[in-house]
Amino acid sequence: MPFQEGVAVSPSAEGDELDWLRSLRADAGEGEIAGGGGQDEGMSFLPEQEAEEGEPDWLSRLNLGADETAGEQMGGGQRFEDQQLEQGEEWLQRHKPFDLDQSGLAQEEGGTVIPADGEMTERLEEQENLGNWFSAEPASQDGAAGISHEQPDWLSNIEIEQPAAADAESFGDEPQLFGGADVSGKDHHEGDWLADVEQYDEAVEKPVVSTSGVKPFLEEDLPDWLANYSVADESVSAGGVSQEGEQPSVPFEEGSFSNWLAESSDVEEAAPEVHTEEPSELSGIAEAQLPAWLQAMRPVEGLPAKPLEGGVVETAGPLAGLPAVIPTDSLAAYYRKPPVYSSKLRMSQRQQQQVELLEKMLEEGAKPLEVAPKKRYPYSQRIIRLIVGLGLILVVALIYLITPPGMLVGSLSPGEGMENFSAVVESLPADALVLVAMDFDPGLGGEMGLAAIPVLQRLIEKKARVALVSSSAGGVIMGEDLVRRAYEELGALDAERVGGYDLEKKVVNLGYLAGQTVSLQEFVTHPMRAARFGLYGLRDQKQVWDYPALQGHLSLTDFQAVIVVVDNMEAGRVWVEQVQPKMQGVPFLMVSSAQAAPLLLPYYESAQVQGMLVGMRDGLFYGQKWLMPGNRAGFWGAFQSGMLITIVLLLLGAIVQLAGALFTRNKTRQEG
Amino acid sequence: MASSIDLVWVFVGFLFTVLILSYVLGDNPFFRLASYVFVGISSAYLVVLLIYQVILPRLVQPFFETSSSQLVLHLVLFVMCLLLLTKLSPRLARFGNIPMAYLVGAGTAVVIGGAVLGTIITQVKATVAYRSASAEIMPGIRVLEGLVILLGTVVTLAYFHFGARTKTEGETPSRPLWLEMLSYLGRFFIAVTFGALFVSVYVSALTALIERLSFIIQSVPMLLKGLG
Amino acid sequence: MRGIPATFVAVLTAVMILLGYFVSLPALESARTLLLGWAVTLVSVAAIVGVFNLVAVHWRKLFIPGRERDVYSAFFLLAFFVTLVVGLWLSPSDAQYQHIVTSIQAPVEISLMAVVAVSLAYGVLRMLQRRRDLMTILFVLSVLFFLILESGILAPLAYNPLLKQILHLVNRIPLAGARGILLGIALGSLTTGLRVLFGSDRPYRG
Repeated sequence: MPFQEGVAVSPSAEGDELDWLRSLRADAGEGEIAGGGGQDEGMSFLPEQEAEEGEPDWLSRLNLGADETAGEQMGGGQRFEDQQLEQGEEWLQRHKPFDLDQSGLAQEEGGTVIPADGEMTERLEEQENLGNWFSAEPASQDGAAGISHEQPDWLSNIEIEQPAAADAESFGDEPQLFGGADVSGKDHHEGDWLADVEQYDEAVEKPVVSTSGVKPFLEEDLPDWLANYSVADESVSAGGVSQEGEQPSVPFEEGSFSNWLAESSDVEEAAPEVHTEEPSELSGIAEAQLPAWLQAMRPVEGLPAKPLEGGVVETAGPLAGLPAVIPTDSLAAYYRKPPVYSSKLRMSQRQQQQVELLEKMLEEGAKPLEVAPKKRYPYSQRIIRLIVGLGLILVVALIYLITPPGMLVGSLSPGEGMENFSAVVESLPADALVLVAMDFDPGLGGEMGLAAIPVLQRLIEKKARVALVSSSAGGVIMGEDLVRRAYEELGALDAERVGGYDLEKKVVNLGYLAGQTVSLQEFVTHPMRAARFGLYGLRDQKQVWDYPALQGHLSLTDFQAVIVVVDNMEAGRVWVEQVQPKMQGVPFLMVSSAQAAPLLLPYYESAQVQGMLVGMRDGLFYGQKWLMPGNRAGFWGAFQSGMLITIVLLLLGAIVQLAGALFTRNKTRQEG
Repeated sequence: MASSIDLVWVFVGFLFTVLILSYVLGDNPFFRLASYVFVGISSAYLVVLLIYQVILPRLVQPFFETSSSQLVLHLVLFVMCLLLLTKLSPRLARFGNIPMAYLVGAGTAVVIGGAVLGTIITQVKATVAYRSASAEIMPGIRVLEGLVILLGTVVTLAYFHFGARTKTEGETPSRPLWLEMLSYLGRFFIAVTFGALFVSVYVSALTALIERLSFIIQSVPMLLKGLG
Repeated sequence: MRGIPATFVAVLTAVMILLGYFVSLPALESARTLLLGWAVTLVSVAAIVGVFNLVAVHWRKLFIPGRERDVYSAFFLLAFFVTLVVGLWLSPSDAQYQHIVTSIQAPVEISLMAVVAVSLAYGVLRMLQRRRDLMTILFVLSVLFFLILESGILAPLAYNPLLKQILHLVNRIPLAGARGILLGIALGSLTTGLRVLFGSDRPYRG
């Protein structure tokens, strides 16, 4: 029985174990038979129990509970523990007392054979005492042997018919044998397998016999792990029989305990006491007086083998007074550890590479950013830098100063979109309503002023109504400043050109659109909501759409043109993406800084933007075209001088670097 | 004739211009001082602008002028704003995730819609069916122009395609050969484009320098006159 | 689990606003308008939160003991609180307050841009110092060509029809590159947006 349990619990039994099991079986053939019933127990220990299809849940549970409990019986229980050691000492220490109790009880029960087989169950029911499993009466070893005599004839026949060699073979096939669903205790169609089972019974019963001094194993056949306990085995009463008056059996000698086991020896000593109390508790119930109705409802075929007596005694309900009818405690205690599934990922080498790449990136990201010490140029380079900087400033300033102020410049050539830009502006009727988006930061206010002021002056000349708006915080004020400067400069040049143009009535500031992209989308769909008060609405206590410049116009399509003044690509792109598609044929023009122009030109090429004026150059050209005020000659001269200095610097640098490289190469060649 | 207040502001502008331009001589305390003051002023101005342009009209005012049904909706917004304030505390910052998620969601939708309708469809269409914006171009050049645009756009996009795969296990991931070739050609267009971008940034910067020098040249006599 | 409500909010918001681009339904339109309006308000609050975080950083740099004190933070804080108080009192519509932008912000920012011009000019001088491969040389040649083109030196040549055609053709090269870059940006935005839309990217978790 113990070896069977051990093997059954461990489906991966090795060849060594098979050898000693065979020898054990040989002994079984010679020895007495005792302690039957282990067959079922052993089988029900199998992990393949789940394969028992069609078996009711409760039955499975009971079987398992029985098996588990049975597994603790006798020395087998002890050995089962040994196998479970790998699962941790903690488990064992926690359950050790109970195990010993169970082993004692099992010994009492002896060889009560309660296979789950229906036929055998019937026979059991015929027994007067309804089977020892239900009895609290301690069973003697003799009794156990006696019960073994009550084995059915057919079973005995099978035993005789099966040769020992076949046993060994079948045992060798144990994983398959126990792995099949047929092994389940409730199988009604057993055939040959049962023969094997019976042989196991013989083997199982042998340890019980060992209580009379027979060694369960041959010394030379013991596996290594078991050999350590060979000395102790001599004193082990196979089942740990603990009848009253008898010396309680101790499975191992104290000295043979490993440290962890020795710690729990105190608890073990208490175990027989616990056991002896149980019969007294049951003494109030006469044997074989189980009510008929309870007999009827007892799930006989599903009842576990004997171990239940060691369980909890029911104190209430129809089962009051009966021990371990519902083996929930043992279930909880003995459920096996769930199988451990491999968590290894199978991945291709490519995936592995990607993982490594990701890890590398994460490592790099996790590293604290090393703040490089402030780079300090060598002295010579600082001098060069200073010379370049001061030289550029001085030359540009000087050219600006010495160039006679003039409004006409000969070498100006317009950019690609300038002509179209001018054409669209000129197509605007008098008093046209124009939306001018001042989407630039103060940083480029200088350039944007030079580019946009001439346009604004032209709009003023055309008496256009201008609505300013900006999604840049600085642009709100800067835009208004540009309009004021345009008006003042134009008026200073020729008061007639601004005659009749009232900034208060013709210009309105729609204010700041916070959140650029989102607010532009809101503005294009619901301008009255997006720009409700404008810059002055709160001060004047009225909505911006009530100002004279906007009266009667409630949507963006009421504007006759949209001019976007932008200093960076992102702002221009957002205006084209969010606003232009909704303008429904309203001309969409752009005044761009030079730095944003290369990336905004594609929008002009794709005709999303109908006209484009780029930077100071186009601004000067546009101003010159319409004779707007401004020192264009000074600006253009300074600009050209700055560009020429840069060209010279570039060529100079290139020549020096290339000459240096050639010199180095020649030097290296000569040295080499 | 500029008023005295205007002169003060001109002087302030002049002072800050000189302080910042002093960086040409190297990093110095004056430059740092001007930078810190500038950041402080800009930050405060932004807060003031947001309060007057958004918070008051959109968050505060509706409490006094909306109906009770709208008020409930407005309370939701108010609560989200309060949750956003928790971002100031590292301990409570997670409560601000909901409004941040809202912002990200709204921004995402707007960006996707804009990119698809405003750039991808239109630019692809303009590349495939190219028409020169200039009317003075000869037909032969026009065809060549179209080809340059098409090729340049495709190879530049190919250059930015970094997806690579391995043909066999253990091989270093690489792009297909045809993509590699397009990408190499794309480098040519990228180099030329970045050259043009560099120049355009320089043009903007140079314009800014000229504008500041122009301001200094004009404001010095004005200030001297004002002092005198 | 914690991120699910946020993801739900993000995706739902995105879907409702995005649908408005392609489907025209009155109910959807009004919901979309509401959502966009809320987003604008929230963006503003987020910006204010960001600014106050900046203020907190400078405050800590100045007043938290045990750290090297950054005296310039005092100027930041002083400038910030003075501008804030004055701004709240006057409002941005005040002409004098607008000088904050035109007389301080603009001069400083434009001057910074001017300093960039000096740095770039110096950079031009050393362009070939680090690398001298084919692409660098191509880049330098491109810079040289467009510097000459932008300077207006070649403007008289533009009157020659053939030269004008050639210049026009050369100008197409950066245009094609720019279009490729624009499309790349748009496709990148689309991809990133879709990742957010499908919940695989959740940049709002923090």
